Amino acid sequence: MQLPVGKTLDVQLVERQLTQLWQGNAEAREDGNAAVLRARVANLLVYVADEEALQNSQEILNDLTAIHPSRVVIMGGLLEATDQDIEMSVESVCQTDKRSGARRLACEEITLKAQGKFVSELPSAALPLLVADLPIFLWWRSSPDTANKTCDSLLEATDRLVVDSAEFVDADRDLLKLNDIFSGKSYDHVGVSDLNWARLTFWRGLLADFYDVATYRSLLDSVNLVEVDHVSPAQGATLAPQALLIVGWLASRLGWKLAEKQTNREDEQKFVLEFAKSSGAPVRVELKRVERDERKPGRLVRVELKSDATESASFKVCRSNDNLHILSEARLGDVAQSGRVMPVRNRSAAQLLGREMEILGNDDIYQQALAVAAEVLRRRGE
Amino acid sequence: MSCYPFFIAENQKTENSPGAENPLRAGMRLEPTAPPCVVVIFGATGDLTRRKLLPALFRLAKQRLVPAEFAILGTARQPISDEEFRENMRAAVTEFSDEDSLDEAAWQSFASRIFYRGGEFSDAQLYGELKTKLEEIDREFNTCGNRLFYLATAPDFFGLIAKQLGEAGLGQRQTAAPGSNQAWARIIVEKPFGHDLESARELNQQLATVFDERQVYRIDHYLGKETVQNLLVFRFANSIFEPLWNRQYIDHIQITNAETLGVETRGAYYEKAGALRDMIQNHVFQVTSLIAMEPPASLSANGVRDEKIKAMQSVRPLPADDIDAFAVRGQYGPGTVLGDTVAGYRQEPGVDPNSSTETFAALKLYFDNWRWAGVPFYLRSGKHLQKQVTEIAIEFKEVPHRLFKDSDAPLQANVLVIRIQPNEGISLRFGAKLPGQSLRIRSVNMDFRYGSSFGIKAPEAYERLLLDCMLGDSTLYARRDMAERGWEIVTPILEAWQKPAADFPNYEAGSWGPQAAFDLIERDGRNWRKL
Repeated sequence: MQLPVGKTLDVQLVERQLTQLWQGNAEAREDGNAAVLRARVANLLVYVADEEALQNSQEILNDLTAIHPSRVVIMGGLLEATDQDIEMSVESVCQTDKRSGARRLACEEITLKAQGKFVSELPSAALPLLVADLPIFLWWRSSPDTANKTCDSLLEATDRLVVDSAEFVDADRDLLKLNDIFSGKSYDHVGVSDLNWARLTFWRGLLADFYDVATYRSLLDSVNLVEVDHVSPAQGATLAPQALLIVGWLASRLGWKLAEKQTNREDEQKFVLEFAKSSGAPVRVELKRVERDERKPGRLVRVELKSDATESASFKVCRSNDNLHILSEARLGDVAQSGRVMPVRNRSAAQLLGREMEILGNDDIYQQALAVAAEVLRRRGE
Repeated sequence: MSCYPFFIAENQKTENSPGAENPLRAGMRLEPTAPPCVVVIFGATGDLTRRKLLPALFRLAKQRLVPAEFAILGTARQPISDEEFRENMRAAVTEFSDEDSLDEAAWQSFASRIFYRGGEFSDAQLYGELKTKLEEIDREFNTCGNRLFYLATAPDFFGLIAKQLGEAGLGQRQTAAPGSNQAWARIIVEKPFGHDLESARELNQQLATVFDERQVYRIDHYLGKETVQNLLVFRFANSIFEPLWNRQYIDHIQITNAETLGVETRGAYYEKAGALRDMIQNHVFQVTSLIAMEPPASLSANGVRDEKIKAMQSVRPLPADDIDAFAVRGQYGPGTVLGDTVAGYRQEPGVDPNSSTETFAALKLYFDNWRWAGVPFYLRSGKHLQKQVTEIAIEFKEVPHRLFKDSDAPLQANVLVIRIQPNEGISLRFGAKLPGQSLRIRSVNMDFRYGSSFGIKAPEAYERLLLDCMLGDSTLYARRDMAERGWEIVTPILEAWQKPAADFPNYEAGSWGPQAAFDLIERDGRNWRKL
């Protein structure tokens, strides 16, 4: 159910219309029990820069409400279009339980759309609509540019910024900008989440699992080669954000520093990074593009840590060829140790976003991984 | 091979976790993975293994919550091969898993770690074979000598198996401090834990001759339920309830565990158990202790369990000469449940036609301490009752002064209900004015439902409990003193109920239990909640 509100912001009017929508929902119940519980656990601000993302966001948010009933304010800022003042609409979304048919707690969506010069006014219309005392999440589906006034104003009010580096139009540029948010003191209060980093959690977990066994763990110090295979990134990126972040994570956790001298690209498909351990020993990292039709651009296919200390060892996590499973395997010398095959858990954007909305604090591990990724991007081709 | 697992992130350490760290674990927002280990299941061809244990372990494996260095060794009387056992378990996982189809690749990876050895539990040779196989598994899968023995057998075998494990050198006693490099052995004991106080003490003693108390995990699957765990959060993470959580504001507490099922195929077992042994002295008392306990100093396993046992130790002993004033027993006769005509208990297979085993029990308990002095706890549990429901109801006192005398209906006291199943959640009843010129007050329920609020599927109780045990976290398991205290409390009742019950069957299947249960609470001017 959707009602036009008109372009002048009247917070009381919005609240009244939302109440009407709730009443409508209650009366529409088929079981005669005319009551729907109105609950909100968070405020979620969503910013999108094009019409397609706007529609896609609404679909994702419908799924999200089953996990986090929230007050959602979606802002569509079409900068390049002809100037058009803010338009507003409100909607309440009730989920219906697939089994019982019962209507679940729902969320309230307020959509604000502006074009051209009016885009910068969106924060002033969105922020008064937030519910007091609830945490504020900002899902920013554009370039995370703090020089952009809209972005800056919203970050000021936000507890947690959520981005998806897989969506960055110019990933090289935008990862650097994202890293700048951590560097700027003005945003100390903001935690940062990257859905693309969240997609790596399972990979990181499997890689970490190897080194729970002390015998393997001692081999971490002798790792001298890391191979990362990934699908070619989307246009606008020379390096896939997932590959950069997983390398950044390994380097920051294991104390590797980017070496003074970098050769980088060996050929069109392979990009090489040289790191140095605290002992000074070198670690070579090879990022390789591979073709996988069913994998999305930039996604990881294989991460393998190799060492050739007293005997060679390798620890590999990879996607199966059919993309349905993740395999992990350790090898000592020529002998394969116990391995695992697990079903891939492709979490939807709503599930990933929901997980990020469970936390408020900063993710220091991500911040450190991103800092290494940013350094790689800054120094590439030196 | 040096094999101690460094498996838990700094923020995920449990009481028994090692102190050393895996540098890649830091800040990992994932559930902790179990350390390398072998789960040895006694009673591996039984119903519990098929229905609960294997499906739970497979789910854990699919979620990467058990490591690659993991294996299962099943044992039971049947002389079957590894392959036959795997096939049986495959059928079990297919039947009892909540997924539409079995993930073949994941199953093959998991099944390659499943082994079986058949034999008599009383035969020392079996344990020798198990030991040899375990050493072989350690070599092949790097399971580091860590063993979890799961006793999913008939209770008669618990003591015997523990003794044989000790004699075979399989129950290495935990002597080193947590965090050391010593391989571990843990034992999970299923219910029923003993038949009475004496047998429970004897079983504890038998286990103690082989295992340290830190190694013994007495399972109570109720404690694995999300809502039961939420009791701690509800009480101690919200400042608005705890100030009211005492005799000043609470009139009484009702805990109901009602089942619509009868004894089904478990008649022979149930004949020796009854509702008091089967439900009250373990599950219901565990829940009761979480309601009655004081705030723990920490959330460590012993921090929580110390407070639970302290609360249960303050339960006023039931007077042997006046048991009927505090405890009621019942047995269902024929009736109608959920639209089906069902037989009486005495007509069930495996049941004595003159049985005096109770299928319903209700108790009134008092806790003699400062928090609960004078506040009765009414507990009831029964089979073939009208409705399937497990809940805790905190009934608050009425307002001290009736200001709204002219209201057309009597004011109802506030009630806080914590539903454990089904529809897990919490509701609060309070009075509100009906809109209009006259002053009419109605009770309304403010209802919070887990399923609809979070939309997240909670893990099965067995998944949680098995993982906790592998991680060395015994918070959700019953400690020795608690297991014995439960029996101590019910001993006077068990003794009184040894006399045949002349009035059995005394309730109709599909009702809410015998009249005596209503009398028990109504004598005090209170009523069971209408559920």
